[in-house]
Amino acid sequence: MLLRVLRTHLRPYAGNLSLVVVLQLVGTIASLYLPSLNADIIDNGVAKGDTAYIMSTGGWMLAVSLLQIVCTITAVYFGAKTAALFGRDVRAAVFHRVGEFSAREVNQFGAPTLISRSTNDVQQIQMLVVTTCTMLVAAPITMVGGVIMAVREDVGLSWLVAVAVPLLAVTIGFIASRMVPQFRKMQKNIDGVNRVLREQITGIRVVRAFVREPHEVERFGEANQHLTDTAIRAGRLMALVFPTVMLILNMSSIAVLWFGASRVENGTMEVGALTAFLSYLIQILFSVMMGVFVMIMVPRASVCADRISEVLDTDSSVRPPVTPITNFTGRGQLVFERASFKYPGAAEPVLRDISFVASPGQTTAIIGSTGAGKTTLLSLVPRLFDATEGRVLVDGIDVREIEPEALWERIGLVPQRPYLFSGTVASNLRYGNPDATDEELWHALEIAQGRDFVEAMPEGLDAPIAQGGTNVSGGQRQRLAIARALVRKPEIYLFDDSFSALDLSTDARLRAALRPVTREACVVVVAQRVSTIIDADQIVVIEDGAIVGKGTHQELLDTCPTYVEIVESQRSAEEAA
Amino acid sequence: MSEQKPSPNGQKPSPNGTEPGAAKTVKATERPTTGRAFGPPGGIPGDKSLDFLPSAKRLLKRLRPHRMQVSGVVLLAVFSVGLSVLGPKILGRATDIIFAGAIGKRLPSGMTKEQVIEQTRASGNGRLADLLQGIDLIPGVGIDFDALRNVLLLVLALYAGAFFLSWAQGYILNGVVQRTILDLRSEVEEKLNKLPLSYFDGAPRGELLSRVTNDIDNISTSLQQTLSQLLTSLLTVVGVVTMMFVISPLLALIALVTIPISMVLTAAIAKRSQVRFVAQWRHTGALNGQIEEAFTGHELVKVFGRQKEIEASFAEKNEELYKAAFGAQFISGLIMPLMMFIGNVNYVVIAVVGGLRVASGTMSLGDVQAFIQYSRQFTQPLTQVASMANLLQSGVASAERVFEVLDAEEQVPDDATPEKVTDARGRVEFEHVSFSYDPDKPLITDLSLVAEPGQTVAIVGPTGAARPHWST
Repeated sequence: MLLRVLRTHLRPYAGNLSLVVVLQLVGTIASLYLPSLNADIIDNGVAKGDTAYIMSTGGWMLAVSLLQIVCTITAVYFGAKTAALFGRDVRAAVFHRVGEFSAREVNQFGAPTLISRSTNDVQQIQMLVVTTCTMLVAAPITMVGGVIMAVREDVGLSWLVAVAVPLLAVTIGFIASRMVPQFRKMQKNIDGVNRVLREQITGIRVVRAFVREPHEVERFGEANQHLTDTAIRAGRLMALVFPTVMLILNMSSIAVLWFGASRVENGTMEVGALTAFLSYLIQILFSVMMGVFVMIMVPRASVCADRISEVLDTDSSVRPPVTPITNFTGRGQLVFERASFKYPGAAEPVLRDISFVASPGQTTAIIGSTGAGKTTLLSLVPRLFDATEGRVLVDGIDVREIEPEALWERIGLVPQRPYLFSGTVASNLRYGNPDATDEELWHALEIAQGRDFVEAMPEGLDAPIAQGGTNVSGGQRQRLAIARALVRKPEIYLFDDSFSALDLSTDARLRAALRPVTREACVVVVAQRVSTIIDADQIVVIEDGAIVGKGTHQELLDTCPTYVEIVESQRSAEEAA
Repeated sequence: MSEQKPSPNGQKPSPNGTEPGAAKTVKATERPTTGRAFGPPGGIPGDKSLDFLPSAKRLLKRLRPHRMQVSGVVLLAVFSVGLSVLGPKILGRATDIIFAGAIGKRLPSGMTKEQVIEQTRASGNGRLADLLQGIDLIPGVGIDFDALRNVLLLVLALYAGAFFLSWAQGYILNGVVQRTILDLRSEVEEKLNKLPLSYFDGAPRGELLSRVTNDIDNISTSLQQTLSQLLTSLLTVVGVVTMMFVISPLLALIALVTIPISMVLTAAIAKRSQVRFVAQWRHTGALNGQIEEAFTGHELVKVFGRQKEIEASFAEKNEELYKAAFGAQFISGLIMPLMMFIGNVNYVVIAVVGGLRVASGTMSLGDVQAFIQYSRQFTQPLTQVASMANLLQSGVASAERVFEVLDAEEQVPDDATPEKVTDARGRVEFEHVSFSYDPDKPLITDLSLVAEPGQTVAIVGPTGAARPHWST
């Protein structure tokens, strides 16, 4: 998974990456060359008392150092750039893919995790790319180069390399393998603490009202302790790593000097070569260590890659049509033709065999108990979901054949939970139509019974709206959402329980104001209150996903027992007053 | 000559396992953005904290309950660093022995060292004579393996000792930090129960949650990584510089020149990278906000046909983030190469000057080798301190945010000796109750009402009449 994500999105930057590798190669070789030059100074300069040689070789060393830094800095430049580009591309890919999702996919994942995967998970992988470019590339080069240089200095000691390197790799690998499960556990413990705290903060009123503070404190204490215990365990392992590495490094130095000494003694090795060998061994071991540590990043990045791939590999269940139809006449006739909807793998369908006709100029109401499938029904029209059986037709054409843009143009949706975007009242209203004039906005507000409170705000149309619309009350949010749909002037209005947060008189005024505006349009209203829909041209009664009654209020009173029940239950409350 | 030896006890990799020099960049860019309550730990971006010293002091004071252990840690650090710092010098002796043997073997046996030197000088090879002067050799005799063995065993013991001490130090410090954080979390949680409800309503929930979770986690990581590294790095620098002066004041002075240069460079880079990191986090926050909105309002975006528009403004912010991230990574990635370069130049200068001094007999080869190792040993901690600066700043910034919660005004505490209600039957009376969030906008004015046990009192009113506030 990780490899696939990396390969796909790094491919466009293969040029950059090759450059990084080459630069790191040159830079590392330069680094590796320095000890050799130093050995040279010792063997041919110092030992022979040749000061001129010492100086000139010193000059070479300086030149090599300069080369090294130029290469490294350039490599860092391209490495950082590539990683950042990679991050940008993956983020864009995920965003685009989620944009294509239908409501089903978004609900399947859940918005929070999609958000997390878009930024945080991408960030993890991006870090891996950066670290790889700057370090992991250098590590194997250093190791191989170091081995070559070391062997070049003296073949006889190279067995030390063959012993030291695996010893180090295995030791670190062992400790690391014990650490990784601890870190995973730590993440879970952190989640645990977060969860408890989040509940406490969100439900603070409940906690206090029921005097549950001691209980909550205890709960928290437990989670806190678990986390601390795991963290301590992980930290103890971590504390072991560096001292161990240093010990192996130092023991290797000692071994080199001991075994090297006999080779110097019997003339097979020069002193300068010995010291060079020593520094190469250290460099090799150091690079092994670096490599192993970067490897530790891999499991975490791998998990992130899995999560991202999951999103990228999910196809939307609602696909745009192959040959989209854009031009068609009609003024907003909506027909449901034996439409059904069932979640894959579910036992029962949410909607069964829904058939009705909603004509322009008419108001069609949909009523039914909670969970009867009303919202799903409305969602079929703009193709937030697609019917699993049957069809939905707008102006005589199956919605699945219509060009999505053209379809949405004709629809104005006011969802059950009105969501506003951060910005201003005006920017939210213009969501329906970016080209609307201020006049049109005020007009829509007036109809939606929102003019008063917007006028009361000091900035009027430019009054700020916080994300989600949390800085206005529920009723105000609903009215703004309605105004937004009105600004659009669509052919089909879909009101999903949009008047519930309004008191009865505002509700009535609003519906009265809506009538002239929606005279030409097809209006579908989902409601709970009978009083809202009592004047509808057609009422559709839904129970358990199926239609149990269709007609006017009076007709239904005579023919539909479910409807009668609903009316009675609401009326008796009124009559009791 | 061994160089590039990482400093003893100093480098500890971050929990992510990357090389410590990059620890700052790994952690800093790992943090999620403002206001998100879920997700992996991290914090509000590494903003340059407003009041660094006081907050830092306050944070360190929290370690006080564990001061016995902290002193223990410091002591262990001093000894383990001491041992590791001695190592190269003594190892240098080993090289001296080998070198002496190698040179000595080539000389004719039977003569004393002085005789050989005289001879060499007489034959016109003054330089070589100077060199021989400084070496502890016996003409004709090779390497003294006994002496070598003893030296190497001593070094082995030193390094083994350093291993145990440094592990113990890390072990104890880890426990101290984690327990301090445990206490901090508990304290904050307790505080939450004493805060007035208005505090919770006043800020977005995710923001408060972030302080309590992400920021504390950030403090934990920062403390964990910086405390031990800072301690050992500083001690190492002191120890190494001392050894360098012991060996050769001249070379030490040359090496020391690099310190101010490194500091200046590091400060310059840190300042620039800090700015870019802040920008990166700002842009990440902005982008994240956009994504959050777009995904949460997904169906609206679709149905109102705004997908293209949203993708366009997303692309814009995404591009800005890319630029900021690139800048931040690049600048901060410059520290290591630059430090390495300074280290290399140092190496060159010492190799040359040292070589010259050995040739003229004024210094032993082993000493030069040790010196080179030392100079490597002190550029490493300098680099580490440099890269830790960011991490430290970030940790203190988070600490400030947590302290803000701890300093918040508590609600009027319940009466110390509350009246006990012995016969609670459920009679609630409101006596001329008023309430408002904002003094200019009263919500409830002069409310008087009695609800007897057994009664159901209904509260109705038009939208906006402040009904929910009654129950609170």
